[in-house]
Amino acid sequence: MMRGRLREGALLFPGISWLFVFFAAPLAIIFVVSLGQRDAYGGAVLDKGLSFANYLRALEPSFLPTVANSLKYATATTLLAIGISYPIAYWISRHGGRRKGLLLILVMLPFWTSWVIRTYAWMIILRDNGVLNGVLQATGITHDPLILLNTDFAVVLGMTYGFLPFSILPLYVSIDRVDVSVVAAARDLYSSPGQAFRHVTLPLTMPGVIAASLLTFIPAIGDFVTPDILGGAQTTTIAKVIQSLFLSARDWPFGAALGFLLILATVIGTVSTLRILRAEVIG
Amino acid sequence: MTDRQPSGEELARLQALMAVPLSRRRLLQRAAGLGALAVIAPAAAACGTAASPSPASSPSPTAAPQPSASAGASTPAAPTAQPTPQPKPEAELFVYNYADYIGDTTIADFEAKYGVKVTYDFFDTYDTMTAKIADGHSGYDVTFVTSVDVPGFFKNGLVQPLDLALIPNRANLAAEWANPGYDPDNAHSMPYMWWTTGVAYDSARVSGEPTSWKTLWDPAYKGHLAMLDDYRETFAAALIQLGFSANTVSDTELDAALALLQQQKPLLRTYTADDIGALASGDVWVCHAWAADARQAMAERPTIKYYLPEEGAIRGSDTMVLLAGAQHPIAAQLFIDFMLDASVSAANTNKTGYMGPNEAARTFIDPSILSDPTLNPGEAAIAKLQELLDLGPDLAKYHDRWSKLRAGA
Amino acid sequence: MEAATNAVPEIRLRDLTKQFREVLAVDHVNLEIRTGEFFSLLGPSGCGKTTTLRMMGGLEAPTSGTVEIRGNDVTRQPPERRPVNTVFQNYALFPHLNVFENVAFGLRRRHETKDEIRRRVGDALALVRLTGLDTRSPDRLSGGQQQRVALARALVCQPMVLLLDEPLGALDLKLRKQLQVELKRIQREVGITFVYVTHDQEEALTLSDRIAVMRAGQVEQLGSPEELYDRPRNRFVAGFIGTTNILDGEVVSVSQDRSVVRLGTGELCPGPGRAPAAGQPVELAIRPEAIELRAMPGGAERASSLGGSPDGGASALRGNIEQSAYLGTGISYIVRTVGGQLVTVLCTRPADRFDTGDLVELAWEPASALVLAPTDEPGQAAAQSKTDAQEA
Repeated sequence: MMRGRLREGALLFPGISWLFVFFAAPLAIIFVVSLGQRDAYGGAVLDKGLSFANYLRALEPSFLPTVANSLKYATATTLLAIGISYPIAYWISRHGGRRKGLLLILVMLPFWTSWVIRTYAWMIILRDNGVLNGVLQATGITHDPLILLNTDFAVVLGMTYGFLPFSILPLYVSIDRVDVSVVAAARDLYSSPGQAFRHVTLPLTMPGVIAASLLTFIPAIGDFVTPDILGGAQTTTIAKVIQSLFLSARDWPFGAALGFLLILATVIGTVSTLRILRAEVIG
Repeated sequence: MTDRQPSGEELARLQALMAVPLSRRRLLQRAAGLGALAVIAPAAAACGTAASPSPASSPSPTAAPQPSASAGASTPAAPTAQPTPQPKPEAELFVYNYADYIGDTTIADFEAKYGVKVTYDFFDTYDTMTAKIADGHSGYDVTFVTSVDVPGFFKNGLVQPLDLALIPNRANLAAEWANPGYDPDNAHSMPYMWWTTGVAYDSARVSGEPTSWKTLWDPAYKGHLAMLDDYRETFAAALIQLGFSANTVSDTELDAALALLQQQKPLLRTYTADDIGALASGDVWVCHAWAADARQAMAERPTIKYYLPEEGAIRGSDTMVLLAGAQHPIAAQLFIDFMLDASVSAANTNKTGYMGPNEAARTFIDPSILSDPTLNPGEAAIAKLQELLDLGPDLAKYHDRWSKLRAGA
Repeated sequence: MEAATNAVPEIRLRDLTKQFREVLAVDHVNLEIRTGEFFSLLGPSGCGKTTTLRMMGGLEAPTSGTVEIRGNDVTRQPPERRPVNTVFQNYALFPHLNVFENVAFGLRRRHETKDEIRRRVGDALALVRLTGLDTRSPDRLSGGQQQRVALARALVCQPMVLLLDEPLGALDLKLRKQLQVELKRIQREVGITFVYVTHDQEEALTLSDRIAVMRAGQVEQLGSPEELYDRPRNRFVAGFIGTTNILDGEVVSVSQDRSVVRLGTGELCPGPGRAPAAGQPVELAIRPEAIELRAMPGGAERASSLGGSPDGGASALRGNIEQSAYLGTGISYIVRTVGGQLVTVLCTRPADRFDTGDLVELAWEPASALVLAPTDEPGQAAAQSKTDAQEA
């Protein structure tokens, strides 16, 4: 008994150390820094007394619009990514045949190019004299160039594009695990293709949908590069504010406080989402 | 004070791939932007935008691709013996600079003259450099620091005082640079290049000849205006327009500047880190911009013009510093001295397009640069320029308001 | 209503064909399944029986041919519009729904009232003896219970025809026997047509009113279990249904109700009552239980003469007992004839006990020796219809 328990402990050790070194410890450091003060040249000072003053600053209403922006982009990105990924993943799983592996590699292919370069490519497409406006004007759909770059549209587009593989892969895995005969059974039991999807395939792939949503929403809420490159003056996100607090303002304690709150909100949101969904799935 | 920082590896790949001219500042954004531009622009043109000139088709004259012997990682060799104050340089020297911010043969000439082997590395962003030197063990001897940061870097022990006896070429400096406000008597830094921050606009889009900062607040250009994503510069634009000092620490003055910027924000397309790209692409018609960047944008879009607003503008400069913990201080200071040599300094200016503080170099500088008011504004214009100063703890007043500006609805 | 439909077959397949890329899975199958019968599609794996069933259910679209249910052509109708339900091979229960909801699934899609659903699901669960397990999750049921849920789920919709795709295939022997009995009971109780796919001939013989034996996408023989057992049309059917001895030979002489056949080994044996003309090659099928063993004088000596005579009823094979196996109901012997032919014999009379090596004579009634039709090699008959398909 004792030995079994010891062995279990030994097996858990690498995982727990990993979590500690790469999650708990940095989080603790962020939290401690967030209690400190900024010194004149950008250092974090902890010996002048610790306080929650930075958290009070973080809760100022002036940050609400960026939080709202972040939530807006992350939500829109997640919905779009799931909406686009599901049919793709479904098609690969059901009709990919022997080419499934190849198709999945194609999904991952954009990752072989630097993410920044791919995002810049969207700039070329979206700007006033860009490809998209060129097409719109050439086909007579618009006369003057539309302002596409530096807008909410561009940010959501760029994020959706960037996070698509993160939603396709978990969806593919969960769709591929659904026994086709279960869908056939639904058809046999008087379901149209749409009803079979709604009552069987979708509930059975819900874990994949949740995984894909989390894998899209969480990075999207922390993304500052896309809003920075494709966004404009009106698209500041909370992550961008944090990033500029760390890098250009060198106000680490305040940045740490905002960052800690963001992580906290993400963790609480994720855990409660999973709780609710698990309760629902198990019934 | 750049904001984004893709990896050096990405940058190196981009440079190799695109052979794009990289300017002194914000080189990453620029490189990536122009690089992608260069690749995709022909396709864009083919897709029905043929009417617009392809902005990336001709490389900027100021910046032909430069062979980079040591781009990428460099590991300093084992430390040599503790230097003693004698003019015999150490065998090696480690220099850390922006890419394309030096003459073509300057390093080779220095190596030949002093028999020192120079390892010359680029940093992708200013933040990368400051992060790397922050712990005092970067292994680099000399780097290039914006003048406003010099006092802070010294107070934080990042740079060490210069031995002016090793830098006789200091005598070449113009009088105003021999005793600058940020560093009296050049005790910790030697000026390298200077520039101005003003307004660039596309004369094909903007009617008349604008002369004021107010053009950046003109609702007629809504959606095509951009400010720099740099809070000191952007607040300076508002403060100067209001008639205040660009270095004010007065809360009322700063609040007034914030209000002015908040009023401007809905008109803006973006706070840009890439003023060249914003202008060259045609998305932005009036842009808060650095002079040398405006000049690069002109190379791609010839209708771009640059002016120093009549209310006044900003002048900034970069300095060369001897880093704390430098293992090769003699060679480092001989290098700084070498950079102040009249002909070397002129070669650097001729290559980069930036004016140096070097009075003696003027005779060797390309007349087209000397006569370009963008790069070398006249006495009257210079008299109206302000230099950004280190504000110590009061800097937070700027940043707090900047965060509010960016975060606000 | 029921009576009126008697004239029209419950299901009629006309030239039903399914081609999967290179494989011709079902090849011009014509079948009529009668109302209320227990009909089996029997054959080895890959013979096309499951594909045929799926085309009846609408889960597979035929390449050509038609499916009619009670005279209506449903070939183009999707599965949800056909009055049939399927019990799937691995049950295909909905893992996210409990037993009640699994069974109620089809009723909910047909918008039955709540009370109606509760009543009918209850009835269906009672029919398959699962009352009380309503809230169980399928993954917490045994294989047999899952099978019953699948059955209830299909039956609750009161289909005209129930299609069963190897429903007992995943169960162990004992459970299978038990459920066979129950299936038969249920079919009698609900009185609807069952179309049952299996590769297990014993199961098919036990359960079915009629059986279609399939091979290589075609129906080899259609008939009642007795017909298939007693009068297999060809070597394939004879071999597939039960155990049989197949002897190749040539008719030597034919008299009124007797004939003599010379086997490939040179031995003579009794031929069928109605044999082809002398000189014709024949394949004889003789069931092991139709052969009588007689002790030969000489005890354990090796049989050496070919025995029998070509001119009379005395013709019989001789051989030695090579192996014996006690089966409870009888003893199975394998006899090696003098010429070397192996023959399986089933003796049900306990009196006849032989030891290994005993010399015996094998005898059978002429009527027990069936003449098989020349065997089509798989694909040979199909070749006519396969113009562009590759040979399997």
